[in-house]
Amino acid sequence: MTCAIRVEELSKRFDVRELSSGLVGTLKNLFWPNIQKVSAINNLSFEIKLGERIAFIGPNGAGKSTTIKMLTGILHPTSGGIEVLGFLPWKDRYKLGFSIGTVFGQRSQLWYHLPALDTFSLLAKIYELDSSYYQRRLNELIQLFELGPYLEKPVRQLSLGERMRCEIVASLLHKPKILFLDEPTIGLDVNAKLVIRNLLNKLSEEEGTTLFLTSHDMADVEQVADRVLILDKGSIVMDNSIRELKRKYIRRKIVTLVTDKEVLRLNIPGVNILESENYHFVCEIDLNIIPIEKVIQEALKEANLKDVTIEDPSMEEIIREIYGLSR
Amino acid sequence: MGFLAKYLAFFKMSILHHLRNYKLLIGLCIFQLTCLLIFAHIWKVAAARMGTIDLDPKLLLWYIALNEWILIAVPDIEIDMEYELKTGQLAYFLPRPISYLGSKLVEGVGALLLNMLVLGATAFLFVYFWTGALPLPPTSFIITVLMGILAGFLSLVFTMVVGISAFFVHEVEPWRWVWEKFLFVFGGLMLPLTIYPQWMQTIAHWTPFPAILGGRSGLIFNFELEAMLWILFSIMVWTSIGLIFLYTLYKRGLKMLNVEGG
Repeated sequence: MTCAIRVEELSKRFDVRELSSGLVGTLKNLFWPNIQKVSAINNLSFEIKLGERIAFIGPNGAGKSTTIKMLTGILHPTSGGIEVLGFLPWKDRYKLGFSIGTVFGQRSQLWYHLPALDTFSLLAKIYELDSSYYQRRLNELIQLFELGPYLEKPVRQLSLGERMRCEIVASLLHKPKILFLDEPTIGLDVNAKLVIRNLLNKLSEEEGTTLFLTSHDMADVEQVADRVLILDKGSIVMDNSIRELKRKYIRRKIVTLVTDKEVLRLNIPGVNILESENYHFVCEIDLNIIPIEKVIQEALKEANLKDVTIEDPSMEEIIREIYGLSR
Repeated sequence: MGFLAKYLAFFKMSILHHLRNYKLLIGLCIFQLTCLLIFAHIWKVAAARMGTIDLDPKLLLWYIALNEWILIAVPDIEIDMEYELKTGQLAYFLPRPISYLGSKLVEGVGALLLNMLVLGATAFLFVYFWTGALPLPPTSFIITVLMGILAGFLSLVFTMVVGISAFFVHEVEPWRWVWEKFLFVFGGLMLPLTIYPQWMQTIAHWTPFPAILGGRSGLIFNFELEAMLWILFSIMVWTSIGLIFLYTLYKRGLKMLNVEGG
């Protein structure tokens, strides 16, 4: 089996009670509630292969968490089909539980007053792991995630970054084929984020774990995922590899030139000057209007170039542009 | 075997967790001793000044101690459950190959037994030295204490019913408040039910409250086999009703969550 997740025409609608304001409205709601059908997911279809690293992103309320909850069997779909590792999640949640792992960045599965090691032992029992297998697996993960110094500390004494490493290990003890990560780097500092991303990459490379990641941090997406599914208003608006996404959507480049002229003036259509002082010239180039080579040629006519840097717009800007296009 | 090992592991974890959080346990012991000290003085003064209380103040202190023991030992599991249901923490539990409700119940039993052991020993030592004697012959006393453990479980089950109501009402605090007040009044927390007006005794008779508190603790005034068996029967029946009710509410809540989300 190479398919980890198959979703076909998946939809989810919720009954939402509309509330009116004021005393009369409140009383009215009590006796004659106004219930509206709200569509959270509309005809979602996608397939994910085993070992793929997927970023499932979208603005707040796009339906990311609802989708994860359906994929893990917590929510039942209104219509459509889901198959996760050959199981129907909402029917086979118990069996599926042995093959998937979940990490929710804003919640904890570790027992607060106890060292993480105690939670690991409990999880080994929950997942019915043989004790020798558990020891072997735990040692592997301790090495991979460099957990040695934190194992004996009560969870309440761990930093957020250390705790998150323990959370991920807790979800990996039973060697799940798919790991669902819902904002795993939320609230972490830059270094801790980097550590988590590197560890996820290492995990995926060494164990072939399928990663299904949601995050609002585009660096997570760029550094962990190799494919992006962009969700908006319950529908997929983009399904592409990161490379393809950049190729298609990078219509602008940021060019920095270090010249021998203190101030460089280029008055060319498609070039937006961001900075020009102290021998530094920074501009944004609209590639639909002018290619980079042309801009550099024009700059060379004006001054000698000592250094040239070309940058892509950030992933965040690209995603913002895609959201903009979908609306 | 694997099935039982999971729940046994939860039980062990719960005891470990509460042992590590020993400051809470010390706080509960201090609270219990304070209550007992106050009541010990109240009954002494009341008996001396009024001279109308038929009941021996020493027995009344044992009675209060047996009630407070249960009341304080039952963990606030409804608060954890409300938190887990309201915040979506449940999302961590549901995809695991273990029942949320079962694990919560076992976790609650672990905390309950630890609390009962520590609080029971504290209360016993205090009251024994204050009164200078056991209220009953040792065998009858041990039976009363064992029934206290069953009563603690019964109280835990109904506390979890309050907790699971978070599926439907979101805030469980008002329900907890109502449950506690009924327990105080119809359970005969401070005074034995036998001195209540008849109509209140009749109402209390049809509730689980006397089985949790006063009916069972009242055995120290008059330990008879028939009364003991009735209380035991009452604890068993109400525990079964509580468990069925708890399971039904959980299944309904879960169904609602599966369809309507959290």
